[in-house]
Amino acid sequence: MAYALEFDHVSKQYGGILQSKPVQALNDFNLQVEQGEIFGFLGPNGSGKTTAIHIALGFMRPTSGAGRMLGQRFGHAPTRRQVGFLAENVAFYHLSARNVIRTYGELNGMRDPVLRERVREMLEIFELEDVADRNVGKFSRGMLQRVGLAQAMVNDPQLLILDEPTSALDPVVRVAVRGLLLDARKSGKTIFISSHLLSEIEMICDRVAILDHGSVARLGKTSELLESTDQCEVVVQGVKAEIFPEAAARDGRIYLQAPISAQRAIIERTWAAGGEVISVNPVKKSLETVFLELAGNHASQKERKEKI
Amino acid sequence: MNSIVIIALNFLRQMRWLVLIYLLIAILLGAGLSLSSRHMDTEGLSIYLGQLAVYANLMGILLAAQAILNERRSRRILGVLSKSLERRDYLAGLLCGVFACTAALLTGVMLGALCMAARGWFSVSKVFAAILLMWLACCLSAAMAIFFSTFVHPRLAILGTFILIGSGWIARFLQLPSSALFPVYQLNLDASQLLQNARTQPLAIPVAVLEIIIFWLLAGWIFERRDIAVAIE
Repeated sequence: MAYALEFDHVSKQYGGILQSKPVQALNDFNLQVEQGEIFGFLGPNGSGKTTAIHIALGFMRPTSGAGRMLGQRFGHAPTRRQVGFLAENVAFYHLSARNVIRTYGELNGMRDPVLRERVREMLEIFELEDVADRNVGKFSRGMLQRVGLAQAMVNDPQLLILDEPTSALDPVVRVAVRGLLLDARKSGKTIFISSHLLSEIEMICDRVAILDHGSVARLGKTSELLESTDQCEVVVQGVKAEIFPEAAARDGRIYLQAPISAQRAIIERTWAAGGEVISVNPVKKSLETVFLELAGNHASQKERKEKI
Repeated sequence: MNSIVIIALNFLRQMRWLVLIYLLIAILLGAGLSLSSRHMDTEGLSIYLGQLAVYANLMGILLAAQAILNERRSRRILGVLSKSLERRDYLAGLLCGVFACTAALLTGVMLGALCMAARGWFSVSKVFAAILLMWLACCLSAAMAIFFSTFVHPRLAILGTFILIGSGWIARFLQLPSSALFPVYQLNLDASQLLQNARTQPLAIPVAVLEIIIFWLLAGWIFERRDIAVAIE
């Protein structure tokens, strides 16, 4: 089965002959997104996320390397009929919300009566029925984002590429969008989300890639990335709290966080004191922690380079 | 084809106030001239049409040269080109939008001229034919401008278009055979000569149609290879 998205040693450099300092936005970037998964695409500002998305959609050409979207080379226009895209700062023709969704459906080759029905569904799902005939030029950012999501999904795409999809949405619509994305995955669709809302990514993504300086710094299943490899949590009971002064005591149990190397010593101390070990688990990190660790590593690397 | 029409209509819609103002100026000028003069000769009508032909050409060039940049600046281009649309078709949509704007303006010019024709001064069919020639000239200059704007800044695109149009004018002035190469000037001249029953250059029409297609294809080929999502300033 072909990947939904595949970047093969893609590099992109902005600027060049006339600019004194060219910028390397992507640097030998490799990534494969499986069909039917929700993929989170993270990275600090300027790490190359939007560039990668724009290359996939054919808005720009890579300096070197190549890639495929739904089995076709990047930029293959007919393939985009099966793709939905929401840009970061969404902008539309100044039409009514209904006509914007309709127009973008038509641009993707949709025709009545299917299009009429899909437009109605999208207006209902994104709670736009009351403002369907108002000009989007007068919409707030959140409302525009809803219209953006509606136009991206109107063609029932196989691959949905969303750049910051929920950043301006209120919590109610955000939950609805999350449900919609999970439903889309159930029906075999692929969703590729670039976002800074790490809690959202953590909740719905099957896999995550963290991009830094134009290449993938971390890649893996969300659950694996969040699992700590060097810290564990040990829960014991039946011992006095003074034995582990650094631990937190709650409901007669003691909760300890310690390096995995100290795990055995803790268990032995508990048994020696006549206590009982309830559980030993690796510590779950938040995606924010993983992200900040990575950013911290790079900041210190940069400092070291500067010192040298 | 449907996509081209959608893009063209939206372009016309964005430019509606500008077009409307030009349209009103042309109609009011024509109506004013027909009411104020007891009689107008063909030379007077030629001057009226010639003046407005220059404005129509200028409008076509300015709109076409800035069309891509404006779409990129507004970021609407990303939404449109993320759909299953070839870049060549997108350019065709923008070009048709410019053609529609100039057609709307020339319709105003024609209505003004028809006010004069209604008083029996000129033949309606000749006015209509002259307007068509002027519109073809506008379409050709717009196609040149959009071609240049795919690889240079709009100001340079306008300059490039003027150079091509000017080369036709200079060749004509020097009576060189290459005057038929970029026949914007020739078509406007033919429009004027048609009213005065003078000889026209029939080759200019097929050359202009062919060049519009060539400029559009070339623009599409270049635009296909351009990054459209990078900073534009």
